[in-house]
Amino acid sequence: MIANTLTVILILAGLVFFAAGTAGLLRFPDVYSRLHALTKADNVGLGLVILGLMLQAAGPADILKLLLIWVLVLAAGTTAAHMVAQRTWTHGEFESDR
Amino acid sequence: MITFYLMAALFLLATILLGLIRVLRGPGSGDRMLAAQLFGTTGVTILLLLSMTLETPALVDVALVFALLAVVAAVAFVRQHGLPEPSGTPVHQRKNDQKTESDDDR
Amino acid sequence: MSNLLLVIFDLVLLAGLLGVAWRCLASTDLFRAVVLFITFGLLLALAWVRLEAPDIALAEAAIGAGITGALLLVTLERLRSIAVERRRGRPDQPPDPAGADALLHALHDPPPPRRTFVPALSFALVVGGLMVTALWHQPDAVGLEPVVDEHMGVSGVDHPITAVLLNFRAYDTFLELAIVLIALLGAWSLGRYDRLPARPAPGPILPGTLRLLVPVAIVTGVYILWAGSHAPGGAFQAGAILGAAGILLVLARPRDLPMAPSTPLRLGLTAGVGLFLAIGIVGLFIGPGLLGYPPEWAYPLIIVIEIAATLSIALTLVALFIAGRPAGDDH
Repeated sequence: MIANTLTVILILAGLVFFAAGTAGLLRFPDVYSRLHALTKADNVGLGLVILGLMLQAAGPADILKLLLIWVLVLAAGTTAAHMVAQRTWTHGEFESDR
Repeated sequence: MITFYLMAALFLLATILLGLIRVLRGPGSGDRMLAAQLFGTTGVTILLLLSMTLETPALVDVALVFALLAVVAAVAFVRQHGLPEPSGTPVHQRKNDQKTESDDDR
Repeated sequence: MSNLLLVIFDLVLLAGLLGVAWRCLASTDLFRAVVLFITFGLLLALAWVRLEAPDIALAEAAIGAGITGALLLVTLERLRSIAVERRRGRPDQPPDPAGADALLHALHDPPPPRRTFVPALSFALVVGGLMVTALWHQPDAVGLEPVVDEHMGVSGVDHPITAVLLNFRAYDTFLELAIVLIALLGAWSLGRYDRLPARPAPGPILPGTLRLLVPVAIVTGVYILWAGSHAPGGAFQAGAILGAAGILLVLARPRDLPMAPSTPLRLGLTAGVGLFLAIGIVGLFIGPGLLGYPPEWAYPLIIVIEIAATLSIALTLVALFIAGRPAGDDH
């Protein structure tokens, strides 16, 4: 019962971060601020959802797999943010798309 | 609980569809790439929630594969053939001779 | 309540799939089309999940996220750089009507307005009508599930999909492996690559991520291969994951990419098809027929074939991504 309540709270908190990330993606003025919004927001969002799901996991193997997914997404998010920022910084924001 | 997971998954699917606006508008390719990155993370979360809803543990493996390979497209985006390697000088501080190249491209 | 929610989820997913596919095809900006295609792959994986096909969702995840996105992005950039180079060579001349320029322009011309609307609509209506009629008269078939379930005992594995792919319909899988190999021969006959020098990225982030991701990808690939005997997974998915890890290394290239030694490379590329065929022909002589296994040997044989196929698929995908035969071989 307590686990279920905690799961619901954690997942709801995670969803707030996803909503904030999407809002930032849509509303922020340039690519650097959008990057800031979503790479932080969605990784914390996924982290909270995974924390919530860990409380429901069947055993230690499942918990470790969920943790691995989070670590991988963190690494991917960090790298992608760095790469996009680097390319935009050195090649220009409004580069040709053709 | 299952209803709650489904509602959360539905909410996340809606954020993906909303985020598509940024892909359609752009303006730069960096913006579009970022949106795709966010969709990847959201997709992982939806898969995890669906694995609880549908009671299919294999979906966690699908989420694991998405998380593992989420970075490949971003690396391809920045390390393409034919792009000059980043010089460390921001584009807005460069002289005209270097900018003509991208003007040409347009 | 949750059934209603599932229906809503499916409808939203379907609308998203159709919308993304339409915008992707109608886009006049190629980069936008590529990003929409990547998104389409993600939604498609969710659709496979909802169709209760986690095996295909797994394959879509590995191929869609790891390979096609990178392939399309690199192709797009290569087209661009060819166009720029041609224009720089002859700045005053009009573009070559058959060259890459013309191709790029053709790709960017807006689609012809309205003229095609009526034919397209009538075509869609006719095809849609035919499909509805065909589905309407479809009897409620149970499919092949009972037949497969009945024979699971002799298949050697516990997962019905793997039993079908590697045992009951082994020739399908064998021919698929052969097609992948023939595709590579086609790419090799078109060109060669000389050497791929290192391109160290500025900053510690990319090398650090590689050091984390590549070992984890190898472990995950082996895990998915092993999972295939009792759960969704198998050689194609595992091969695609290992191939994607190789593509990541080719893209990032923290150091010079060594020329692959010729003989081991060829042995690796053909291992899947070769071993499959050899075991299949042995089956022809000792009883169970071409591409059949004696039931007591089925499990080890399937595992051996799957390991070889995984290796071949991974190598072939990386070789297709590099697209060109190793230069050292042309004597």
